[in-house]
Amino acid sequence: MSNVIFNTLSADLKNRIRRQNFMFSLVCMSLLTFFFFPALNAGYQTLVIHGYRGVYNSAWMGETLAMLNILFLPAICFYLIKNSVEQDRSSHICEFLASTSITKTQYIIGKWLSNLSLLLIIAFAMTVTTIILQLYIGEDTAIYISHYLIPLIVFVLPVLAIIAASALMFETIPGLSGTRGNVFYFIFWVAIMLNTMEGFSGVNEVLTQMAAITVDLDIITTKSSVHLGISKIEHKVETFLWQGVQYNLNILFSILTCIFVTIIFLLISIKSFDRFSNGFSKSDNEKPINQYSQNTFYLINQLDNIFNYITNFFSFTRLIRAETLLIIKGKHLSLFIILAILCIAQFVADVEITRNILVPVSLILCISFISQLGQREEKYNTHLMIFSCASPIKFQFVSMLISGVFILSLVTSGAMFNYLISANPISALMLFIGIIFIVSLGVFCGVVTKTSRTFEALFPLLWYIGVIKGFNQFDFLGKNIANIQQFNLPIVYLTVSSILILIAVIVRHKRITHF
Amino acid sequence: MMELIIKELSKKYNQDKQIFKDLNLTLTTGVTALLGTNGAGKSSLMRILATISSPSSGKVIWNGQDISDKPNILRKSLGYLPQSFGLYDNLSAYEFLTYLASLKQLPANVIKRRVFELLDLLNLSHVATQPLHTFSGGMKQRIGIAQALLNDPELLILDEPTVGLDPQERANLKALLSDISENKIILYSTHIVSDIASIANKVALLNSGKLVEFSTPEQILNKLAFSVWQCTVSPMEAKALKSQYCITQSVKKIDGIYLKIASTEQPIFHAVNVPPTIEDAFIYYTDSQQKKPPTLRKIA
Repeated sequence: MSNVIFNTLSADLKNRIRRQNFMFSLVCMSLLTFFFFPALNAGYQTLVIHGYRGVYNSAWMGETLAMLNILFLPAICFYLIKNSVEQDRSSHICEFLASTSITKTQYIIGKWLSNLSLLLIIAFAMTVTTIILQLYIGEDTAIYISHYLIPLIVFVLPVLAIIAASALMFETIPGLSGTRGNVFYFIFWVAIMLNTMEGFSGVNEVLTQMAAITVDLDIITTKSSVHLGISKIEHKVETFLWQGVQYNLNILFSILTCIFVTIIFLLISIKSFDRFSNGFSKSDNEKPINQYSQNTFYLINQLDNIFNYITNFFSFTRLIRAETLLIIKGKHLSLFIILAILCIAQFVADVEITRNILVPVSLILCISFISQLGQREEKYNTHLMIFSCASPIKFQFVSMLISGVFILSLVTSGAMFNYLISANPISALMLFIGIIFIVSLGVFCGVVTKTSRTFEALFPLLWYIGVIKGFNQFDFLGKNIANIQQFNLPIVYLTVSSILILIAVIVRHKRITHF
Repeated sequence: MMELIIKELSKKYNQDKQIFKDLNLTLTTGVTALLGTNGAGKSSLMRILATISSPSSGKVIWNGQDISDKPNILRKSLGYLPQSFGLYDNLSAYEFLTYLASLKQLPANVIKRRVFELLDLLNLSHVATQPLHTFSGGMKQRIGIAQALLNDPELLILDEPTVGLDPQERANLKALLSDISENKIILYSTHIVSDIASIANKVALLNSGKLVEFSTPEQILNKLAFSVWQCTVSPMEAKALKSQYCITQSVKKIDGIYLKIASTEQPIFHAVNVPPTIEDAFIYYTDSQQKKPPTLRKIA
């Protein structure tokens, strides 16, 4: 039994870490660590206790990293690992596996260990980056490895175990394995995990001890509060010396809670896993439409006739039409109905409601349209046929970008008109630039990482920080009008979009000629 | 006259893995069959000719123009069927081909007619509006062939086009290729050697990255005339012959083991000379190493 599990883990792990996009993820996650430890006057902080933060020593940085990982890794890492079963299906390995004597339990535990190992590698890379960062910042250059490793094992590892199991659970429960599941998980993270994770992972205990220290040091100011996560701090924060957390029974109880949740998720995964008895078809919600949605075909055909008439004059416009249909084909009719209702609502509702609620909801619903851009050719193995056509970048790549912008513009057209008639041209402009940025990011992620999951992980995070919270430079739709001018957002996002497209073009061009 | 010249073409992966070296070949109108063992470099060569892979050195010249700097010169006249490919499952056959026709920049008034013509030609018109996920392997293969023919290409590259096709469809494809080969250069790779004699004007035989033969099927067979033998021997004799000669066929029969041997000399006194086939020639040219037959040990 253990040999089967070990070999499943070993083969799966090797296969996944040797992929180009794993290195890309590792680099991105290491870069993310830099944002976790801002300077005193950076304008934001990630952990502030009563207006203070700890001196950047090993104890503070190790535990802060652990707590921020607990807060953010469930959102990011879930998407990085949620493909192990799907990979076996799409590569048709499942046919070999299903014909062996491997049990559902062995397979799921092997995959869970592989997921967990992958996450541990990422967490370890982030820890190494933090150690380098501590030396670079130099507030305290004494490195205590145990101050980094113990929080990683005590706080982060149990949470990673839950993420590894929940990714499997989402892959094995019918209906949750595709983009629908990805969006559902993100909503689950925002609505439940963000609020409860601190409680059952031991973070609250650490924060309580930190807050108690600041009380003992008599450094409480009027700003009596504890902030974990990204908080806007206009003034320069003060520092205090943090020597490390005292491990107690409360923390042990948190670990046991995480283990319990992990076991429950694993049991659900084992129970729901079909052992590939449904063959190697794609996830349920991405299954091609057959008889059950004839209405979709009818509706799309009618729209296609109109679209066909408009775009039939030039080969390039015909290609845009074909790319647009390719993006929307296979999606359920209910999605289009919801988007149409939201579009009308954007037009009739108050500008603030449109900006703060309707546009964000419309855009997050379009995630599956954009996440397929740039990687669809390789996902469906049509790349050799497409790239051997004349001028694949000039025609196919550009038309793909335009189709993405066209679809998002159509979805948010109600808001555009609303902004324009209520004399908010700056908001309309920012919305359009935001759309260009979203599409550029989607294409960039798809081309560079060859998977839709990168965008499906990154976009909800940016959407949460930028669109919902309207946080400073991340406010790519211009939620806070003040941010637009203060941070020069139109120029920043047009520049970022251009860079993303340029990199995507270079990577695509290289790939076209180097198969 | 159309001409594709391959000049001292080499392909290397990761510095040390040489796929082929200094390949020289001139293709003219008609069907050229590309034969070779697995890993001989057939697909790598086809990908270079289809402009989706760059050679490590050498040139590919299409009608007098080097395509390495301007691949679009060739792409406009190219139809390519990769060995392994996928389709967009959510689209119907008609929609998928229309999409590819748009990519190939076919004029608006031609697309619909051409797509239906090809669907009809490949016996797919009755399923034109059905989603591609409902298609069988052979039907998907025919969609792949149809997309390669969309722009009525002057150079048609087909990498294993008969994979998954039933005998009837294979015969139809061969007939189709024969019909259209008059004004096209068709490069066709296959493992079904028997298909070649009936449709190929020329055969290019690759072995370990080298072109070992490039001539008409008749010339290849003439070279092997009086060099193919058949005999029925005991298992002991068969074992001895297998270690010395190139065996092109081995069948266990009631009276012993029937062997077909490619050799310039008579391998055993009662061996009878028989006319060679393309399959004999293929094995003879690619099996010059005279490897010992592999054995499989029992698991303890």
